[in-house]
Amino acid sequence: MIKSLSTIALSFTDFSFIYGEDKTKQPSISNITFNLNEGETLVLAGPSGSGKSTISYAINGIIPWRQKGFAKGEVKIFGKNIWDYEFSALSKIVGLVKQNPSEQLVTFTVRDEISFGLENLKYPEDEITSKVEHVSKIMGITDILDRPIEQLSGGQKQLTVLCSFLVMNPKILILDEPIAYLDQESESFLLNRLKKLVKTKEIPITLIIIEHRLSRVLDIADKLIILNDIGNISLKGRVKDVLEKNFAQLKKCNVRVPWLIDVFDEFKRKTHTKNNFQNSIDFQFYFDYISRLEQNDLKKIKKIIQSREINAEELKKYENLDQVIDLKDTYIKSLKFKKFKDKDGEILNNKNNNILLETKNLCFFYPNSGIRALNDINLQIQKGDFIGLVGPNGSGKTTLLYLLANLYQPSSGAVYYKNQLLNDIDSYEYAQKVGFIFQNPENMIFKSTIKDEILYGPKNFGILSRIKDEYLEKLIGMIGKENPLKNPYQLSWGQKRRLNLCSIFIYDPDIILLDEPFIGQDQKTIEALVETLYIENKRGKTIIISSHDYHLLLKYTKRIIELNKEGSVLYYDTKSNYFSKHSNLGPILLLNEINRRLNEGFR
Amino acid sequence: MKEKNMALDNKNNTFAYVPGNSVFHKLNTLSKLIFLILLTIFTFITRSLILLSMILLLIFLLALVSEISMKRLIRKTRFIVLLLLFGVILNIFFNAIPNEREIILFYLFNLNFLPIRRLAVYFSIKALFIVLTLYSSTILFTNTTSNKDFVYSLMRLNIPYKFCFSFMIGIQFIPTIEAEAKTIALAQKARGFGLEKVSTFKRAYNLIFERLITTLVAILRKGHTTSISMENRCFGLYKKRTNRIIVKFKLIDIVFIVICFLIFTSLLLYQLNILPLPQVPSLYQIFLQIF
Repeated sequence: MIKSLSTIALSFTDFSFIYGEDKTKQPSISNITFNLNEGETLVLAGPSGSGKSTISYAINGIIPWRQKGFAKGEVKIFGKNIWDYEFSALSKIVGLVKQNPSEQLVTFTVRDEISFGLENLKYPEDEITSKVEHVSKIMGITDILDRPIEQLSGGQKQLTVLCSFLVMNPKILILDEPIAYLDQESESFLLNRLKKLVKTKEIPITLIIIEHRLSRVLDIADKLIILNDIGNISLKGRVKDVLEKNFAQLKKCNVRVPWLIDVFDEFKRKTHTKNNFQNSIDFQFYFDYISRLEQNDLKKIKKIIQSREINAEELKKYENLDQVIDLKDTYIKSLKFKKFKDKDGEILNNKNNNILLETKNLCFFYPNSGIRALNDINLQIQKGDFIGLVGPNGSGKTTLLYLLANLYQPSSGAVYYKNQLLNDIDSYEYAQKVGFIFQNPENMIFKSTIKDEILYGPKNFGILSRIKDEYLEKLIGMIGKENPLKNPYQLSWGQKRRLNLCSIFIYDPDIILLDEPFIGQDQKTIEALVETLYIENKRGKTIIISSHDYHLLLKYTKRIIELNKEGSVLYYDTKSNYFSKHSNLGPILLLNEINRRLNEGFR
Repeated sequence: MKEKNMALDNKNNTFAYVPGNSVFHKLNTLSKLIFLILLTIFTFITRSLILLSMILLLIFLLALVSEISMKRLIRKTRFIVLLLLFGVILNIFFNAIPNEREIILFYLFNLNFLPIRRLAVYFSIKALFIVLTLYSSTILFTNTTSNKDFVYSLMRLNIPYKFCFSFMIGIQFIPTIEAEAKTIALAQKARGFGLEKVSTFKRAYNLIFERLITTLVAILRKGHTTSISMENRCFGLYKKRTNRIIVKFKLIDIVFIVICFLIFTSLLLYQLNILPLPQVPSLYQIFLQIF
């Protein structure tokens, strides 16, 4: 009995927590019950505001020692109640890696950072040196140990934070959305090292990963817990069991399910019992599987992949704009726009279409530093286009968006709006034509009520009298059933993002620019966001969206601009042409293989 | 540089560390601190404006040796010089000791109610030199001293490490705060703020209550994450911590400190008329000789 208890690293029993001093408030988490054995990996997912971070705080001692509130139930770490631990004792056995690495790095070089915890624990210098060498060897970063922090990539920074906890030999490590801020390259870099760590067990550790993109982390997880909007557990179990037996239920939760399982699960349902296999997260398994399929089944699976991952089939219902207006009940009739044809590739080939934005030899240097952010950018952006802007961190995506929004001045070259030089247009007028969504929703909140916040733009632009109450009410409705006088900071993260959208929709801009809008957002918000953007695009708006999320861009955009590290345009093409050249993306890999097999069959 | 991009100037931070290999860069932070302290004491006790101007010249020479471009230093001090010159004018008119016996140099525009008194001019120019000397010597210090050297030197002085790290993180946070404030300013501008024609007062009010609060929220969130991350790595658990990095004194430091003390002591003795050296003529004496 004692032996089995000692293997339980973490146990929650009917645990609830209310922040603040008001007992009557809705608990952030309620009735949380689960066990995690030593050495296991748990993936914790759920919508924003569901209490994922609250659970992590209850494990590492922030609750109850640093956060006021009311707790009910029990949390035990290695059989001992958290109340019986000192905060300092808990920080020795529980580590917490947060989303943004830049906010966690406090020293100067990688070596300094990894040594930081050990220095605080008064380890002798020799021991610190050997421990740092050991951990960095396991995680494969010995070559960057003496590199200054500011010279690291996002992935290297996050790995440094991870190592700075691992070196302290914690029993439990919590990773709170560790890949949220990373580009594709950095994400793969970090996940590969993490997977190696879990699989080789070179450092024995109990891992809790908070992540809503399940496909990224499920292959190393033993258990899965999904929280719902009100902080209850809506689904829990072993990963294998959930994927095999409860996948339908998992899909209903507000998380991003692995696309592979989603596609093949539907395939199974469509082909009934003929193709019966257990859901897996192993890409190679499905790749091998399709090599055994017959022509008919290959066509079926191809159709499913195309409808699920390449074309936004579920949004086809919004093709008819009148339907959109009735359905969404958001846009007033007076704002109806003419229909806009958007077949992939059509606009690019038709030179007679209106060019809305154009850049000619656009360059941008950071002042006084000589660092080139953008290099000789020549783009023609047509009216009604939906463009995905991709590229590694530091490639100048945000700078390009700022230049297009006239928030920065080009160092050389020029930006044209409807063939007119941007400098010749009154910036007051141009600002009304562009809606800009910034990465952090809170960076766009300036007023103390939802209503004032939405009306902030119209007030500045002097068009307040033109805003109809009916339209304003409908926009507020987009945020949820909220009091217009509520403080925007009291909204959930997803609601804040929707508020941002409303605050630009109110002045009806022609162009919508979005800078990494999906970071930190849950699946429901992302879906609502792309749905709204899709409708806006249908209504004639030109949309440019910068994101690292290739899967979303593959599905929803029409065209892709890719910038390289030097700030030059690497590709500017229709999404189908672009992604056919980037076959390392899962759905494209599978489609290529299916096409190859189909072609073989016809020979 | 185009006005719109001024906010982007990352090197615009006057007190930021500029990496280099000069002698001043190589000196121990404590040596530089001693130099700074002695310099500060001397600027306050010296009465000679000629000596003060020589010290200022010395700092500019040291800056030249320290690979800090003169253009940069002058650009950085330009603003403060303008501000001080304004102060000089105010001092002359409003801070002049209303003493009838005080020497009046001349009457401005030959008007009897606008006397320019000797002491008022002296104090004004002295204040200008003191502020300018301290400002440029601080730039010299911070431009040649990395945060890392500074923090570990403070720890060497047995200042509690919690204070040293808090201070350092505060400094390191400055670019983050700047970046955040710039983004928020752009977010405001994107929605028409600053473009509308409203009164300066209203704009200032909006600036404070909109931009400041939004920036403050962003900084507090970031600060909260940083403190959690540090506490989770046992920061502050014990009164002492292992200091892997020990700031060492080299021969060059000893030589530098000895020279500093020698010069300081000589100047002090000279100032107190203990050293039998001819007195430097005062600016007033030069003024009398000229006119």
